[in-house]
Amino acid sequence: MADFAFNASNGDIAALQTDLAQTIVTALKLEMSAAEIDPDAPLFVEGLGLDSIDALEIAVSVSERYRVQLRSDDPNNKRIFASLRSLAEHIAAHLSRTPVAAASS
Amino acid sequence: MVMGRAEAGAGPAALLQRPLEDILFWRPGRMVRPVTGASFLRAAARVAAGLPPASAYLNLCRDPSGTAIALAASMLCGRPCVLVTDPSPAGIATLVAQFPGAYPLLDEGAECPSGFACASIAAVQPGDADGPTPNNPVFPAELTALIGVTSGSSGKPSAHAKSWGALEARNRAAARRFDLRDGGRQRPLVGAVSPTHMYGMETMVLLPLHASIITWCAPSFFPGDAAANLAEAAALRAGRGIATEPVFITTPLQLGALVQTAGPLPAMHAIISATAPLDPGLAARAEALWNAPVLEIFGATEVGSIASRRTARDETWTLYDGVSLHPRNGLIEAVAEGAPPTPLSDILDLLPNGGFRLVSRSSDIVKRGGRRASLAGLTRILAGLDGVLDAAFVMPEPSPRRSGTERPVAFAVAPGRDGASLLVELRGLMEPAFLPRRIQLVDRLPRNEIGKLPREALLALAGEVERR
Repeated sequence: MADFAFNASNGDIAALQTDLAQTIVTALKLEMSAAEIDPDAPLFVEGLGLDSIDALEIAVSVSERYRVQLRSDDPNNKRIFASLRSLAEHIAAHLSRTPVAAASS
Repeated sequence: MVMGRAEAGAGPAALLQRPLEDILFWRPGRMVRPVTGASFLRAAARVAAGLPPASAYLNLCRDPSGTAIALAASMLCGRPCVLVTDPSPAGIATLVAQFPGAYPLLDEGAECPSGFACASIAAVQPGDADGPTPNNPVFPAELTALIGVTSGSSGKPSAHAKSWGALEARNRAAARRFDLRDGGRQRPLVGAVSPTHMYGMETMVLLPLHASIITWCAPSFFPGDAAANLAEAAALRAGRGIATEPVFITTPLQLGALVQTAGPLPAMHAIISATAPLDPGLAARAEALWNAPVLEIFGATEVGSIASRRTARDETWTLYDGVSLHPRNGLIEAVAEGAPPTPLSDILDLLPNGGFRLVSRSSDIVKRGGRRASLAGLTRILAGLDGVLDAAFVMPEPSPRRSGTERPVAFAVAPGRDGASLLVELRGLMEPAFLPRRIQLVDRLPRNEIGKLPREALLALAGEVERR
């Protein structure tokens, strides 16, 4: 999978969010299109119905595509995984600190 | 409920079998980081003295040191400690119904689910570090220390009681098998699993009581967590005679994720996997990447861990000391020190050297994320919904890329109903790990002439529906 080139300084979180939605749909083989994911709906249980195994899959895909390692001891963990939007914002925040890794290869 | 009864030969055994000054748990980022043998015993006595009377204690702790203190305090009160794997209010309500008068114990600072009264396990505090020599309690082998509960797919949760004698004997056997006594040299252990899952309990919680192990008390669920915690644990040494190569406790699913995101890891004493079959190819890749032996534990819910192998090299399993297998009434029965003889549901080939080869796992049992369910039980739940005439669940073939990530696929014959509404109903009735992504509605199921549903026919149907 090609790395995602993202310029956080443009504040272009919408593009990352769209790309992340497609990454999740592909990784989890969801029966929906990326556009159908409500960016503010919970990703787990009552929303998309994802579970911890799916969270692990998302972590692997996020690591491969954006070179960002998700951590479970992050105090904001519940918030990070709360929705597509919050996960995109978390990834963007970590990308912007390591722009070289995001744009390389 | 089946209570563990001790077999002849197992005697009383001390809670702690290490020097009082040894470190049992290390809690990064906490006020009191090292939990020594002495502070553990003092904390257990302090917590036990403050517990409300109860028939049993439900262990909802997520921190390994808190889990250990909750277990020890329950034993000091002479009550079993029930392992809670589903901490949702519905999960706790089910356990309270199953164990009337049971009382939930939580990590300090954790939120008690609404509708319940809970006791908070104030983990080791600064005051526990000093004081008179603490009492190291000796428990009889027949004391019921732990109860593991398997759910739920058939609608009838069953309880598996573990006596102190059985836990203690198996714990010593595991320490010998994985070379964790090490002449008193203490060694960090990083675990990627929950301490209230039986595998996590045996490794992250019980090993530090009896082996030279320091359990790392920080979540290691994601590959990023595990890599960071292993690096920190390897650097713990700090002039204390602590070994620099940690033990890593993981599952095939998490090991696969770690291999895929393959970052550098420190030198490790061993990588240990359990909860689901480990692919030998994955084991070999992990050995090549990190130059550590990848060891797999064979266990069954009914008996706990009983054998191990080095998966990249060995096809056959070697039993733990004190465990033997015997054919009986067409099944294989495991006889382990301190535990009643237990029939196994898997099909094994016994070898002359006392080890065995696994022929097949019981085909009705599916495991996902450390939870297990029976396909027949899942099917019964779906078939019981209004408007469903026929139903089936099947587990797809393991994905070559990431074994263990597959979800069950569900089919229903339900004229007049739609798949989405059936799925919503299922959510309240089965564990999330076994929920299918969707219910595939079909006109009829591929039943053969005697009404059976061959697995191959269901897999073919799944492929056909997918291609539409």
